[in-house]
Amino acid sequence: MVMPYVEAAKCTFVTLIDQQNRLSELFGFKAVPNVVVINEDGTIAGKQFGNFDIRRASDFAMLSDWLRSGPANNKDSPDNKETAIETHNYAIMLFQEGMKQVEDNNVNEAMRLWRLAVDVDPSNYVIRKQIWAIENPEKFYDEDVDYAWQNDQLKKGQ
Amino acid sequence: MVRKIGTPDRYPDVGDLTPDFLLDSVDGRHVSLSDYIGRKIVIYMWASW
Repeated sequence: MVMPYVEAAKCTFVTLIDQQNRLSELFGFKAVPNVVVINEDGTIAGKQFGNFDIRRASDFAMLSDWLRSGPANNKDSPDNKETAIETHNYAIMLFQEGMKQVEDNNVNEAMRLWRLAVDVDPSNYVIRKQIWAIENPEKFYDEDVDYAWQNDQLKKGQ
Repeated sequence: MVRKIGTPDRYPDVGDLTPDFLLDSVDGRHVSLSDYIGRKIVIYMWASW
């Protein structure tokens, strides 16, 4: 699934696979694409979750700033951080259980778990997209990903 | 509400130490973030959909 993109782009960087959504457990994001920049000492120089586009001049400038000078302004500061983390991680746990069910070929059970995950955390678009992709494979896997369809779904509150 | 052992009180913010992780690369190697410590690292996360 990933290799065609990697090969087409002639990537010189390392590409890893996070099928279990573990990075979301560690960093707390609910949507992709994301960027995180790490300094030489291992501290986070900057991060943006969702809506990051390197082709956009402002995003490229932001990334360059982080690489050049280290820590910048943090964009997301949720209220009530502890509850938000528990909710987020509970939804991720349900997602991971669903992935195990898929491996055992129990797609209906997987879907049930993923729908529960979206109920627990309606703002997690990674899980929501997984449901959409299974229910509407032609919108994701046939030719190009149908982003107009995805925007429609969001408008309809799906 | 269920809480997993090892769940942080908050997610890492700018200025915090990054968490480490170990994942498989597309060419089958085990790669962890700490393999690259001492250099500037850009992590870009995307999905095929």
